[in-house]
Amino acid sequence: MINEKIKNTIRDLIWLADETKTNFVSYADNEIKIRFRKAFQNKEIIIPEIKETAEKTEKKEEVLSQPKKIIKSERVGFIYLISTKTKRYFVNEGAAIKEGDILAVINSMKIEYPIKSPYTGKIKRIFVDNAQPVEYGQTLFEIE
Amino acid sequence: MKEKLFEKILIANRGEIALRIIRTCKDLGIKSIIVHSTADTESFPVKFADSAICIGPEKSMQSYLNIPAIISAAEVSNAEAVHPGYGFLAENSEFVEICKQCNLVFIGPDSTVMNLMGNKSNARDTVKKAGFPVIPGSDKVIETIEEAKSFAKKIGYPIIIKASAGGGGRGMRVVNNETELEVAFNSAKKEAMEAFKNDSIYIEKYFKYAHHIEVQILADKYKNVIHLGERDCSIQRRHQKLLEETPSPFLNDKVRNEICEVAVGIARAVNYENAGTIEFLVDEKKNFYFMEMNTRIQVEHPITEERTGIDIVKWQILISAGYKLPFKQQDIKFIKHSIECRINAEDPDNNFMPNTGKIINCHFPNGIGVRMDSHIYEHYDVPPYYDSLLGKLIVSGYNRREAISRLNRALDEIIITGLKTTIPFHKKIINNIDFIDGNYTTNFITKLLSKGV
Repeated sequence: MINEKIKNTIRDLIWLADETKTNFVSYADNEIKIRFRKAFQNKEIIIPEIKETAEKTEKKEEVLSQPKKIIKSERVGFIYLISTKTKRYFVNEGAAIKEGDILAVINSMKIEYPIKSPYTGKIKRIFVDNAQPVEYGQTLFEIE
Repeated sequence: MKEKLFEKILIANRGEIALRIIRTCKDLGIKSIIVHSTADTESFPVKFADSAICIGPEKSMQSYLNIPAIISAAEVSNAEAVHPGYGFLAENSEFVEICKQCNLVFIGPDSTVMNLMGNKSNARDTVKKAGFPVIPGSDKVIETIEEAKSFAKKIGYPIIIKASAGGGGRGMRVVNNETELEVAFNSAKKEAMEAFKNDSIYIEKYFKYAHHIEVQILADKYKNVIHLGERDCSIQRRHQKLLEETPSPFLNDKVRNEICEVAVGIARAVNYENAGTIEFLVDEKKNFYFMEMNTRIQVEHPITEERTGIDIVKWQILISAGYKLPFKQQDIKFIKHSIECRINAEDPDNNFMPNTGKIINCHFPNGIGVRMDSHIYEHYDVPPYYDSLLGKLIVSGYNRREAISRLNRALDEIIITGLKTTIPFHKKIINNIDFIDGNYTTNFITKLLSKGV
């Protein structure tokens, strides 16, 4: 649980630092404290400090440096994460996927366009809700 | 048709005209949805619309001309109507037809009228059949040199030979007298064959010193058609308008009334609906001829708005929603004299080469009688993918003299740095003695440039 939380927090901090163009951001609550500083050459240094001893085995470098595998929308329409046939989600966060697997469909002018994964890996995060409108270039999935 | 104002309008355009439409939507209490390309994410229309939907990458073909993406954006945003602005899809009758099939109101005329008036030769035939003057021409292909000679004699020299399949000036020859005719006729035919694989040509009367004058029309769904006066658009460089004014300093009241009445007649003859502009060519003797009709809002519409006090974009929207025009022709008051300068990101000292990049300083003129329709701002990055229009400076005064001195004042106040613009060139135009005297034709810019200014 706390692993997941750290990952999400780090991701949010990276985003915040990029968005605000600052080099240093930090986050703290009663479980975790994270300080994030952008080093020179644009390398990121992340120092998670875990107060709870139970989670100390946390791999610190886990989410670093790899280029993000992001899947973006290539059209405008409504996105469906639930298959009309099976009535189940095509994929959930954490699910293992193979290249070519259908992750969702976009309904545009009453035509359904499947979104196929260009990567093999694991769904790290789904950024959209079922049946929400999406625009061109909108971030839909992150794969790891 | 019941009049019910739209709640949401989708704007399928960019730049200053998108902002112009958003402003009227806000005045009317209508929610605006702007669609945009990835190049315009940081633009003012995107910032000021009630919502924005990215529809594609930078290239117009994949964004502003991408019909499925625009229709999908209207679907996901529950827009009831689409305003196309000018350019892009504004005169694309296929788009108008698709909107209709998708239960979207297209703010403009229907596709039938658009097809009829959008095609030059169809429009010419229709207007001629309705009994209105068109540029004297052969109406059909001229096959032989004898035919050419007799036709040219009939309409009088100079004439212009044009390729039927042509465009872009190829296969065109201006002929001043009969001795020049044979050589020009043969070489035009040869050039047409090489360029278009079709050597058919036709002949039109050529006007060396012409005026380009257009009339603004408003027509509702109940056969009420009025005009909002004329605009003189003779200040052009290579058929691109640079400066427009209303009223025209060239027309007298008699011809002004005639030309406006003819424009209303043409709009009635084709059952036109919504705002439209009818363009005429006016010769030195003030004879006028129909050239073409633009079935959309025009870049230079603000001078008419300033002259009459009527918001044309508002009436485009209300007419599409089924409202009746509340004013008759005699209610329209022509009060001001108004002039517009198009401020382009072009270098007048370097053959009007377009330039793009970041704007460093940006300050707009202000004060009484000054309006600036523009989407640019400090540190705005002008994208290289679209036209070079940065904005339009519109001034108005109680007479032409007041308008011109106000324009001088306003042009001095504008600050746009980081890019070359046409601002210094406009100063030259409006301080030229022929311009001040109101004595200019479509030849004005050529003359001005040949003096090496």
